[in-house]
Amino acid sequence: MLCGIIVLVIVLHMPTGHAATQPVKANSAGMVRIPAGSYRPLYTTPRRAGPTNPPRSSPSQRVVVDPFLMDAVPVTNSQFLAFVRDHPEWRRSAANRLFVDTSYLRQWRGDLDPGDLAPPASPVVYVSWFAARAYLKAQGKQLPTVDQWEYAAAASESLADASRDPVFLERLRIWYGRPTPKPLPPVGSTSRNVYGVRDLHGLVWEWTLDFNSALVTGESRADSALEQTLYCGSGGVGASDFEDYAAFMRYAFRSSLEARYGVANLGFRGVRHVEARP
Amino acid sequence: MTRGVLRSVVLAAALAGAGAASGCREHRDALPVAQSQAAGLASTDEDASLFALDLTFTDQDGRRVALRDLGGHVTLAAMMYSSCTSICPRVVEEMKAVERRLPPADRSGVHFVLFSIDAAHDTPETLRHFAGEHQLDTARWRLLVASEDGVRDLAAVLGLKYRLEPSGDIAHSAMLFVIDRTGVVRHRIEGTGTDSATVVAALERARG
Repeated sequence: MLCGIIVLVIVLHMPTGHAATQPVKANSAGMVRIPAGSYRPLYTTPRRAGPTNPPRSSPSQRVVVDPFLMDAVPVTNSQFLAFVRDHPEWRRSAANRLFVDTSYLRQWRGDLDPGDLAPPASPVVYVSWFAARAYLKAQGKQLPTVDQWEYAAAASESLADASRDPVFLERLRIWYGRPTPKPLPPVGSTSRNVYGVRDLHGLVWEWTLDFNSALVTGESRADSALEQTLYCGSGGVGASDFEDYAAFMRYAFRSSLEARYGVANLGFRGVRHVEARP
Repeated sequence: MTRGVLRSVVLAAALAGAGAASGCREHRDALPVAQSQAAGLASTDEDASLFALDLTFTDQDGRRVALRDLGGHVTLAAMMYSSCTSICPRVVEEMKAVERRLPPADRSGVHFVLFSIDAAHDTPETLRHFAGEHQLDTARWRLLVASEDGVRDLAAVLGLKYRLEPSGDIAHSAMLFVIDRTGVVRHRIEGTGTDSATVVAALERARG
């Protein structure tokens, strides 16, 4: 019965960033500046059907992404170890079960001992959304939004927007099909994109602040009666760019998460707000 | 239904949806993450209290209310926002139907809480107006709004999906939550149209 209720509704953004292609070096906090840009989402936002509001799709809107700082690499086991040393409430044996499930830091040998399966320079995984948020809050950072992450991740080594580059997309497809190596390789081991950010693809998947914004219904149709019993406002969106299989998979994955989950190859990195340059 | 079952269905639906939409079913096997997610099915911690979340709200009368202040009573809760014209009124009507159906002796033991997901626009005034419009007895009903970050955390612990739309609408899943006196979510009811007798029974069970 639930199958009827739940299906993902996918939002695919097509990045059309006007991002400068000048690589930026990481600052002392290990962050690089991602210039402003915008998305022209391919999705359409269906409206709820109603007497005065027939099912329709609104024209695509541009979604502006302000400049921000992003960690050049994901958070590592050694960094997370330092955090749990300082914050005992986030140690594996102490973390509140409201915020983590039983997989929390499962690959670590002990509370303060990552062990062989979690080398110091490898990305920390099996962390929940709450744990990631707590870590980043302590650093004065936060999780990237889906928009920020997708925007930054659309860049290849040479293009700010590689979302239509078949070579780039094929590479992602290959990674998505590979099993996760154990232990995970160190951060920074994959290619660096045009902004100087590494590992957005090819190492681990990453938490986003609004991972739970991919609404799901039984039918991704604006006029579905079922949808109207489940959702307020526009329930979901229709995706149209199925070429970007990798982006589709990311959205599917996010929609399957809950905030307390830990996953074997789900890590995170931080972002920080910056003022736009004149 | 257990959360574990729900989880697996979400996963299955995500996989099915992705496979169908990509037109490449063989790629279903190419999902290292989602597969490891499935391995997490066994981990259920149904007894974690929401009160571990250090959250403060403002209610319809401008009073400060901590999440843990909801303790001591069984609560039927939903997330909504007061300018919502589509499903929120329906959810509220269903909650009222439950209220009417409760045996009079039990009525005072159950609290009804509406958490706003519209931190940017909901205020004590809008919430009070909403309560008036829907004739909610504020002796039993509380309408609460938190900060944007607070809303995010609350939605996360409750498992509610939502998205702020450029139009000002907030797309969100319709869910009712039965919370026991210690802050444990005993039932999550998805969608509208659930028979109020079912919800009443869930409330009775949560009273324990």
